[in-house]
Amino acid sequence: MAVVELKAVSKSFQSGESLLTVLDNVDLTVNEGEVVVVRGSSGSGKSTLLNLIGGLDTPSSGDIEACGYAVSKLGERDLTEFRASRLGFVFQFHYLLKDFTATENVMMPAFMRGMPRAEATERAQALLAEVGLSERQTHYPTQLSGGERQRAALARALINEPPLLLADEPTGNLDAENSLRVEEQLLELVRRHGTSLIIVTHDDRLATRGDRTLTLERGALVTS
Amino acid sequence: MNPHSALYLAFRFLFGPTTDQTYRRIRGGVIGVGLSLIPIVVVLQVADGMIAGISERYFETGSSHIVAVAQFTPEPESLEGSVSDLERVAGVELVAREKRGLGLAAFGDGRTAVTIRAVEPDLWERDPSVSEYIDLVAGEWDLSERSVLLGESVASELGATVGDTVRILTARTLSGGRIVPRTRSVTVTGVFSSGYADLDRLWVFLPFDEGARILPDETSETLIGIKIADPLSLPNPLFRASSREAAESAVAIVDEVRELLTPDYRVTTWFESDRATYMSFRTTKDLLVFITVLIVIVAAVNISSALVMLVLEKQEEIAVLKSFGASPSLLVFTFVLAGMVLGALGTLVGLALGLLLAVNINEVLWFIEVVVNAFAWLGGAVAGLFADVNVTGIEILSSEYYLQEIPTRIRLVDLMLVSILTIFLASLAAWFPARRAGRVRPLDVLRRH
Repeated sequence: MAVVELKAVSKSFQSGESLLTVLDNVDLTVNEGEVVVVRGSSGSGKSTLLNLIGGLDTPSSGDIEACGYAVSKLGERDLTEFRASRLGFVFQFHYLLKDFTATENVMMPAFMRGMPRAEATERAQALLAEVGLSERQTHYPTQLSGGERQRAALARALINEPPLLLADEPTGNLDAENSLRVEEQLLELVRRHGTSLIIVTHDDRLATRGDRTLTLERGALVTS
Repeated sequence: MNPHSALYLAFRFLFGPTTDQTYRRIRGGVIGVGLSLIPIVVVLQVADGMIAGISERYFETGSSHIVAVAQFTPEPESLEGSVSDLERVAGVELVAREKRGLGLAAFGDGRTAVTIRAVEPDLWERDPSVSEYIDLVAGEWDLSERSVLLGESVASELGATVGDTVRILTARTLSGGRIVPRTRSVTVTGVFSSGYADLDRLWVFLPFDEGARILPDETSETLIGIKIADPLSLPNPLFRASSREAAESAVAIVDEVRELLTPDYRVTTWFESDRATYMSFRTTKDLLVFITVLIVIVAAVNISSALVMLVLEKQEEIAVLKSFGASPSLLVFTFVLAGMVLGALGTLVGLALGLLLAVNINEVLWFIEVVVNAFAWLGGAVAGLFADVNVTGIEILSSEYYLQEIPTRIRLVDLMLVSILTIFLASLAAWFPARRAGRVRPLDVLRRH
């Protein structure tokens, strides 16, 4: 069953006088539980693709459907509900909230969605334990290493048990050792939770571990 | 939207560990609101105290709680009969006759216009509020035959004191229009002050029978003063009745008095007797409160600007929260709550400082007077070395126009209303930056970062 379906999606940006087309008539289907790796050179439109699927950006043309939502046509209220209930994001930068502990950062998406604080905290602690941060629950982001921050960000993305996880170069800022660890945990968690994953990466090793690898070339998705 | 999460976010944004820069602005906003509340708290407490102090003096020593003014001078027996009837009305605590008119007091070369109040000689003993509000500056309350009690201003004007014999002059107009003066020599047995110079500036007290003899009917009035247990429960726009029952009972007393005395007497309550005076107190207070509310509004703008900065500083956090499903309304609510929290903290600070100042207002004014006068005298002494300088001290609240001491009256209802108003204004001020937070587009911010 398709979790994500893109039909003839294009995205162009105005660059001075000219129109820069980043995605050109892209079609993509991602099935439930599938791990799709997207590769491409810098500026090829990988992040734009994720932003469009996540409803952070709107396509110039075409239709995007994700987890039963017509993402490209959603209003603000439905978009909020879609992000809260169906989607998890992991960015290249961790984007943890500075004034919140690791547990608070992880539990916030569930708490905001209406889960009682105690239950959200309990679930956040369990997820932090899964990513090996049970000793770091009360630490603030500034007290965590780069790898630990990214693992906390991974736990946060999964707190609402979304059917779809979008990861934009999640290991891009990490050293080899931490990259490997985050990568392992990311794949292990999505497999265990049955989450579909679209991951954008430059990492050759990670590219080989997905169910499918696609490459963005001149605005088109090509199977590698 | 989970309102608990909005409150949680608001507290974290305001008091999180990495908000040093923000904290300074927030502290400024809270202190601003706190300081702005001081005038309104002081005005409310002091104005209420002043109004209560002056009003109580007016009706305890002047107009009485309920006053029945005779339309025509009654025969002594009729007056006695009315007094007896009134004394039997349930809820009436005291009934006292009085004859009041204008005259002239003379002593030596001095003379001054006076309001002659011919009262029951034993009023001092019978009416505890008279002895409470009227202070005997010299002598004693002795209204035996041919005696007089002078108000402090009158005594000062005449230069008379206890033991002196002063002349009280009244005038009767005959049918042909000829004016016949009548003079009565009386001995000063006491000098009094009601504590409010404007009220007793012209007063002299004579024994009732003495007044009845010298005050002509056409220029004086005979009245019956009636006192009840809870005068503030009589209908008035200045004070709230202690309870609904008390208000109903007070009105019932007035109705019964009117039924007994009409049409020979015009019956009014203390408020109706001096409506213009009391309403001027009320208007003055309302104006002062309006001005002080403007100060609070200005301070609320501080909160708005502190929150504008907070929203700008937290753009990244807001964008991240939105990408994880925070709705615009949750974020707007979060920052409105932040404004409410700041307003509430400012309110606590303002109430504490305002009340501290209000309850110590007499000491504070005394201290300011002492300091200002000390500097004035010091400056005068230095200037005196070079020129002939005459330095006079200042009196911030002259007892000529105000009470000798400012009473404060703490009304919890007022404080609650002020608190609600301040928190509401702070929330309103927070609304504008909060809307900005709700409109943040996550992608724009995340791209920048």
